Amino acid sequence: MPEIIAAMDEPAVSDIMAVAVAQAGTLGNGGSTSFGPFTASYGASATFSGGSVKLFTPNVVQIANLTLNYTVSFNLSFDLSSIIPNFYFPGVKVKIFKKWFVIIPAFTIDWPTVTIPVSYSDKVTFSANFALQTTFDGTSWHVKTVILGMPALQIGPAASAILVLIGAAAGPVLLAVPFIGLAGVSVVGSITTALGISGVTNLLHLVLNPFLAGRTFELYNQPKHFQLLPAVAPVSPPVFINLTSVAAAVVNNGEPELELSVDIAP
Amino acid sequence: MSWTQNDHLFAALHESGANDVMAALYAQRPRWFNYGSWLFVPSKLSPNATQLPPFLNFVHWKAHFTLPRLQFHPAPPAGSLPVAPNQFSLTTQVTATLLVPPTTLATVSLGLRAVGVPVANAAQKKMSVQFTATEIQLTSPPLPPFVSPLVTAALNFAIAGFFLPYPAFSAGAFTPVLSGPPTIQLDRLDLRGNL
Amino acid sequence: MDTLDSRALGYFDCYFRQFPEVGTVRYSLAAAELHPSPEEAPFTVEVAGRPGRAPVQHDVTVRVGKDGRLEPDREELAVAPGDHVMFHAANARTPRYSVRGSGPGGAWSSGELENDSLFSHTFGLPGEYRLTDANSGRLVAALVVSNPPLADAGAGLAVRDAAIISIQGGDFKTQRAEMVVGQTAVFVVNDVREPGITITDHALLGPPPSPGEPFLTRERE
Repeated sequence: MPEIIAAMDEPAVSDIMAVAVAQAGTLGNGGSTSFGPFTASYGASATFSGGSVKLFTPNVVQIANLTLNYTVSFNLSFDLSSIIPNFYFPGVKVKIFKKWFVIIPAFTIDWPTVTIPVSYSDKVTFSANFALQTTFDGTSWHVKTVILGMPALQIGPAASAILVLIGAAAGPVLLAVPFIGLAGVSVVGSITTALGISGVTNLLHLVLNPFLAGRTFELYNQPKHFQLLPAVAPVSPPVFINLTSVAAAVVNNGEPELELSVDIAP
Repeated sequence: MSWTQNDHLFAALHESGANDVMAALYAQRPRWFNYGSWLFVPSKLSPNATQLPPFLNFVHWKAHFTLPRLQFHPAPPAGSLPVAPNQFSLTTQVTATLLVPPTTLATVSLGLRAVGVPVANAAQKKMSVQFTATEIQLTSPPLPPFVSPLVTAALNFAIAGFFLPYPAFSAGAFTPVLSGPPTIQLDRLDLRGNL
Repeated sequence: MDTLDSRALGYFDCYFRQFPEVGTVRYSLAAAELHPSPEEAPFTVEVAGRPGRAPVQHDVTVRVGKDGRLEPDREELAVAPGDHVMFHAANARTPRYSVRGSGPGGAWSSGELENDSLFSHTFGLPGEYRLTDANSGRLVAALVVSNPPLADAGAGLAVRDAAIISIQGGDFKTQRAEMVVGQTAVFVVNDVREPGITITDHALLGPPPSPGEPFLTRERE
């Protein structure tokens, strides 16, 4: 029989989890990747919110309707000549005067590499299973929930919206490319077709997955040297007890509960 | 049966944990276990004049308690005091000394038992105790008359200042709002409530 | 808007010079007007023989040589009197340059268009181009360039005829024209007073158009 037992039912764990989720704070990541003719460098920040808990023996905490709120900025670069055919100017013969002709020579335009900046904010809600994990870091006991696997994120609408934003942002960037008005195709359309929903979806997964991989939320964090009583001025110091072991599990004796078992020593 | 039943939170301190807490208090707050008049102990740390029987204001005395032992219901009687559900017993040895002018010290050693209940203080989220009965070990020859009021005054002074904050019962996992009074059963002191 | 300045020829510019007189013409190519003295001009055009039935165009491609300097694809060129030589850059990476030479007809420079000179520019970006003579400050041409209708665009499109902008005499009038992206403007310059004119986008005037070029100090007419 452990010396201290603390038990919480699903609604209580939901409330404690909401605090833990908020305490994860603002997370950031960034990097770059290449796919097809595109290179994207990106930065992103995210917070978590919401979520309701169901508990399953022996140690599973399921969080449903957890929301990832994110903002992502991309710089999408690509060689335009890999998206649209190069432009050929055939040259022109000009009559200056009677028998005097000049010939403007032909030339080919090798389209340049352009960079399109895009920013997008959205949120995605998902459910995931987490496992209880208890650790001691030398000073404190921690009970965390660690995500199991990688949940599937429904980001289809976000990918569509980002593709539209890329098209809109491409316009002003293309205006500065000489002869682009003669490309003869909708250059923006060619860009969004080459990128495609799948390209944007993969990019968004690349940006968002790191926020989820190995994600932990901390439910319990107390120093082993645990303060029982505060100091009382002027003469009484605080009183401490040592938490010699901490274990966390999900039990079900009529209802699922998160059970914390603690042993103490003076 | 689940721990939390109709509530959302449950926290329990087992009897052996309670004795670990007592050992920690004994080592870290020795002043709770040593009393006396100003000749023996600084006056701040002892019962003041209004808390003592009148005659003790004029004599010098001291009292020392050994490490008390706690037992939660179900427990055998403490001396002749039975331990009912929701009660605990406390057993300790007291060494009491009186200074008989001009220089004689009269010392007596005896056993003290008490039975008490936990008391919730909702406003400050802490649990105190209240003794419902106390008993001093009978001896032969009979005890000098100063002993009983002296020991009782010290004991009352001690428990008046004693408390444990609610989070201690969950090792800091949460601070509950209690849905009912703390209970003692099955060698445990239980708190039940909600966030 | 395009960068348009006849003093610094780019990939979409051509400079044409006619050689009516027989003789040896020496010329040099330089970026930032850092030309050698006329005696040290390294490249030649030999004008000899009889004029042909019609003037012939000789193309000179200006490129960066192995030593990092600008050079023509042929260092010696032979032409008939009345023929013209067309200078153009090899590719978009060729630095902007000017051509300066001297011969039987006197000294000439692409940086100052006087006689027997044509300057052409093929427009890549739309805009309102106010083309000014950097020497006198006078407006040479006001051109409004638009994107062509989508139906006209496409690789291999029938490129519209060039627009000819004629600048004749000392009191030339400002020319106005409406053009489309992809169309070429050919500026024909003759009988213009010394020191000749430049065709420079008004937006470029002020600081020198290429690094190192001294700010113009000649008196305005």
